[in-house]
Amino acid sequence: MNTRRRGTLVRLFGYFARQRLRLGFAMAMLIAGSVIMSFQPVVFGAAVDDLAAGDSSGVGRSAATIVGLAVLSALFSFVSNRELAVLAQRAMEDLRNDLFESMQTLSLRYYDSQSAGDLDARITSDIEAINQFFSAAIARMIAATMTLSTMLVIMFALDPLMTGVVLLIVPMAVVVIGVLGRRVQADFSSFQQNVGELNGYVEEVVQGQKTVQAFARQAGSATHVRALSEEARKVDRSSQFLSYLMQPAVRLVNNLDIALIALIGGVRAVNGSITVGEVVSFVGYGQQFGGQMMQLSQVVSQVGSAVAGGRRVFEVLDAEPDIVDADDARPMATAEGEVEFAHVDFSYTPDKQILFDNTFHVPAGQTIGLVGPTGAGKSTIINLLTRFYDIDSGTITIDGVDITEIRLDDLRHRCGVVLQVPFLFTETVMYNLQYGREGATRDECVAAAKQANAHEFIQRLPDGYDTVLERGENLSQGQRQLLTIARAIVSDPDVLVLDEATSSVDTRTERRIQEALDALLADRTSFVIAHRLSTIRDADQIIVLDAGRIQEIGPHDELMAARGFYHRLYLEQFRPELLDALRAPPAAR
Amino acid sequence: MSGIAAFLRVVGIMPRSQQRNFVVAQVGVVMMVIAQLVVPLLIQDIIDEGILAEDLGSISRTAFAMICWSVANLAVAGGVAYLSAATATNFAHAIRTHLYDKITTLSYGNIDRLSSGGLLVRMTSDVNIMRTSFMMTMFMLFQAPWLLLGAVALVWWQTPELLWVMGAVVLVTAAFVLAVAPALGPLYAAAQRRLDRLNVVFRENIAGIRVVKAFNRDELETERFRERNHDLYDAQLRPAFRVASFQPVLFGLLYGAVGLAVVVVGPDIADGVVAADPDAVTPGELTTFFNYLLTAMIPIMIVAFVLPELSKFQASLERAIEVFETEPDVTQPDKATDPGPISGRIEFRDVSMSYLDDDGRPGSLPVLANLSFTIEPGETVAILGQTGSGKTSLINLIPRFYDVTEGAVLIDGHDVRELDLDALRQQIGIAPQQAQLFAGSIIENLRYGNVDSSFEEVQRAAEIADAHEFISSQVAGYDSMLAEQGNNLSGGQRQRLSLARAINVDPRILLLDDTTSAVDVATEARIQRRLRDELAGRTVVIVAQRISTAIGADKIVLLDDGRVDAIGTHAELMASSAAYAEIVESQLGSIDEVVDLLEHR
Repeated sequence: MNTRRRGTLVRLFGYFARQRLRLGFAMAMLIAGSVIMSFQPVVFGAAVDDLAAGDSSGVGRSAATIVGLAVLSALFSFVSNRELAVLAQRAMEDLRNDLFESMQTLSLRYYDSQSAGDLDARITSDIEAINQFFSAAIARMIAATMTLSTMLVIMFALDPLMTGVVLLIVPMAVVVIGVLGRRVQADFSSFQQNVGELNGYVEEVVQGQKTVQAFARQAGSATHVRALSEEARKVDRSSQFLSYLMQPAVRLVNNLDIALIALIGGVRAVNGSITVGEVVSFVGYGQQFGGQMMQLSQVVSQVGSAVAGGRRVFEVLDAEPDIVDADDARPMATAEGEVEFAHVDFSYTPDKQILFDNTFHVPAGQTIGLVGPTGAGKSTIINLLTRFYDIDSGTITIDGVDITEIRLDDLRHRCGVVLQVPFLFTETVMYNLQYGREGATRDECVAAAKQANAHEFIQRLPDGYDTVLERGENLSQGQRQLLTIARAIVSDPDVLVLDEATSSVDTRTERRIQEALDALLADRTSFVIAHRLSTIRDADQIIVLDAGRIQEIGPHDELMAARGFYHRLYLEQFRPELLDALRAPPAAR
Repeated sequence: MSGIAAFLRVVGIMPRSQQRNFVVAQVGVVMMVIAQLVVPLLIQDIIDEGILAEDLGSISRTAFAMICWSVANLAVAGGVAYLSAATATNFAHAIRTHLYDKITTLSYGNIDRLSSGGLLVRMTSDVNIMRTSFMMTMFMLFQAPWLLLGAVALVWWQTPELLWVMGAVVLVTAAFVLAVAPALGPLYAAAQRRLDRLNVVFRENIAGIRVVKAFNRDELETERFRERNHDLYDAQLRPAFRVASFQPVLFGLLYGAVGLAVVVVGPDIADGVVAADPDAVTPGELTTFFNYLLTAMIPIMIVAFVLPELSKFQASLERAIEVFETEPDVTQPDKATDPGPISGRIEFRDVSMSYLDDDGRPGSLPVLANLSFTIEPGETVAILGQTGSGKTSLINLIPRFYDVTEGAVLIDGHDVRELDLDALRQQIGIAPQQAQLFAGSIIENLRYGNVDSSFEEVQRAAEIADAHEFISSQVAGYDSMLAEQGNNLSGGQRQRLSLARAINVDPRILLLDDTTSAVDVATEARIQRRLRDELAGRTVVIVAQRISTAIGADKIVLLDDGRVDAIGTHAELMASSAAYAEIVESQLGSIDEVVDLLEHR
């Protein structure tokens, strides 16, 4: 057992032992229960001895004592079992809370570097392995250790030499458990890997089943599922087989030990160094000792998987968030909304720079359009303003304050974002709207939904605002975008960012939203990314990006007059072949 | 108990070879039970005839016999364990592959209702649960009746006077276990549901991390998580508390029986010793009775342990059966017509459509209503309309992702419901609204609908979709690996790959569902031009929001709330539809302004 492994176990046990008083009480109850139980053979033996001597006057009292001790011991062990269960579940609750909260502090860079499937395995199967350890293994280990040590004391008092013979089972069992256990562990971890791969693929083709069918790839994907499942089956069979072999193997070792006890004890009884009765007792102890070893053998694999799981969970817990408040971070209760980028360079990964020397200044209250070809870095600028990522060099300021010096909570409260991919939670519509701002009332949310043109379709949902959204599956893409806009309106930010917020919304609806947004944007700074140039034509300034560099900045008219990049971009939407079409007379209105 | 029935039903429908495994294993189980009963008897012999008689020869002989029995037990147990492991893992493999095979026959509507998350759980954790409980049941559960029978037989043989004590205590414990254990199944199931609910929050916070951070609502999420986490704590504690009573109660009853036995036969034993009556119960027999009682407790413990597992098994099995019994909404027709190479004429004839509700009946709100129009072969048709007006629903009818509720969709004059499903879909290329890409290389993704396409064909498709350039700028070009969901690309780049993939199918009909919404106008213009030149003669249906996408189409269909509001060319619609003219003006500005601009370029 190396130190890291032990470190993980100790740390896991630390969660279990958080409530010291309760743990102490549970242990005391456990000890009391097993000490009382260890008197049972003595009482029973004495009763049998009396009967063997032909004296039956004490049967009533003996029976009463046996039953009384049993009831008492049952009571104690019931209480300790309950307390251990509470400790186990409390430990799991704490561990899950810690894991969740730690994941919340990690930045997007961390999430970019992890596969979602792997994180998922940590919160499901790794946590489950630890749960098994807490709720079954620990109690078993404690109980077995307790029983074994009580027995050891009694045995030593009776006869140290015979105790040594009984203990011969320990090295034998350790070898068996060690050899089998290592194989089981190896098979188990390759099974985990196989299953991980299998489940990763299954996740992709089940969640992407519509695409699979659209391209008629059912047969190919089914063959692949079959092959991966076949791989997993083989390893799984081996690990299951070996882990079920453990108990009969330990039983064989136990019986070997009993044979030795009987033989050596028999020899010693013949030459008179111990009594026959003592040999009989030791045979009994040998049986019990073996029983406890069997219990422990079952725990071994649970401990192994808990340590493996624990290590992966602690990896997440120990990850350092790379975007945190500076020690002297400043609060920012409100903002005028003046934004400045000065010589900003940025890259997601070291090998590929995305933004080069971006410099621009936005006076408070202006609406800024961001345009440029796909992959130019428009969304990246938004990611930097809200400190989803930190920049490589340069500075970003809001109201003249470097954003790295503003408290992160305040910074993000000042900025409201509608992201490119409309993400909604599996909760009610109302929950998703109220998500925008803590303490937003129902009325405020309904008003925002009306502004975003979402009120009408929300009312047509089965339970209106209280309809639970199944990952948005019951809404069209455009409707989901309307909800995310309403959510941003609820958040009432000082700086509003709309990243392709209306790409799946038709122009008429968009125009109506725009009217609502105009009022909203009137006195606040906003950034609008859109490919439909009509969406941003009225912006105060338009920033034109290409390949991470700012090409031009200025209002629409100025940029058109300059006949540069933007002018070209703008004209390209009126392709020559459309010109004739456009000349068609408009309908009488 | 119904869990056992479910288990046996599964065994009943397994292939012959697996049933043979099961039967052989059960023979082995009986042998294991015999060994387990014989070994304690031998130990008793060692004590009675060896140690107490101080006969070393007898000790070694009996000990040797005992070791032989243990080795035999290990060998048999090994065999049973192997057969159980093989059968259980074969079963898991079979369920998994059959489930997936079934899923591939389900239509979009079935998938919507079963939810892809739900299907995923059935394929992963449910299979795991069934495998574990299958193994446990096959190896362990059927030891229980034999062990009980053996223990009773032994008591009957050795101390018939105490048989009723044994019977009484076994009945009481069995009653206790049967009272407590069956309730555990639902309690575990409830805990599992809470766990699923908690994991939803976990997963959403990974998938939606940007939203959580953007709105700064980590406190709300933490609160939501803590609340559900504590619910889970309560739910897991409930069965744990019940289980906590098992071992104390069983041992209490065991010693109660011992006490009872001492009172019942104690006087007889003492009298027998005094009278030296050879027929009386001996003190040794009382000890033996105690051991048999212990043996009788084992099967009860086994049952208490396995029953809850079996109810988990049953729950998971029922969820799998739900999938197996699902009738696909869209099926291959009995007498499928093979249309051969199609020309691409599409006719919507009085089409109405509602999505099915959870019971599989058409919902009351029609998404499309009495829709009729025709698309001629080689035409490019744009579908416009407000959010929620039914654009995506409309094009999903063409490859039969969903079926109409009334009316018919015809391709080359054939009702699509009469055509061979594969033959139909192979001639249709679709780029859906959300560009779903798979982990793997770019070229693998592009070849997804046409595995045998040559590199030149793939490259041509990428060029048409204006994707060739950015693919080439990737470190490994076409062999560059995509992250999950293509997350290492921008939104516009993902869309262009999805488009190239659809083009690479070399379809007669190309369906583009708002495929260029995240692509800039200049790039889109290039794509449109190339589509027109390179895919001449193919039918193209484009769902669009941008007027620039629609304007060059041969025909524009303007949808409003599931009905055709207007249909015609751009010029016709400009003249006839106020709604259309409004869309054009809102996006492009007034015509005079545009003309002015263009003439001064």
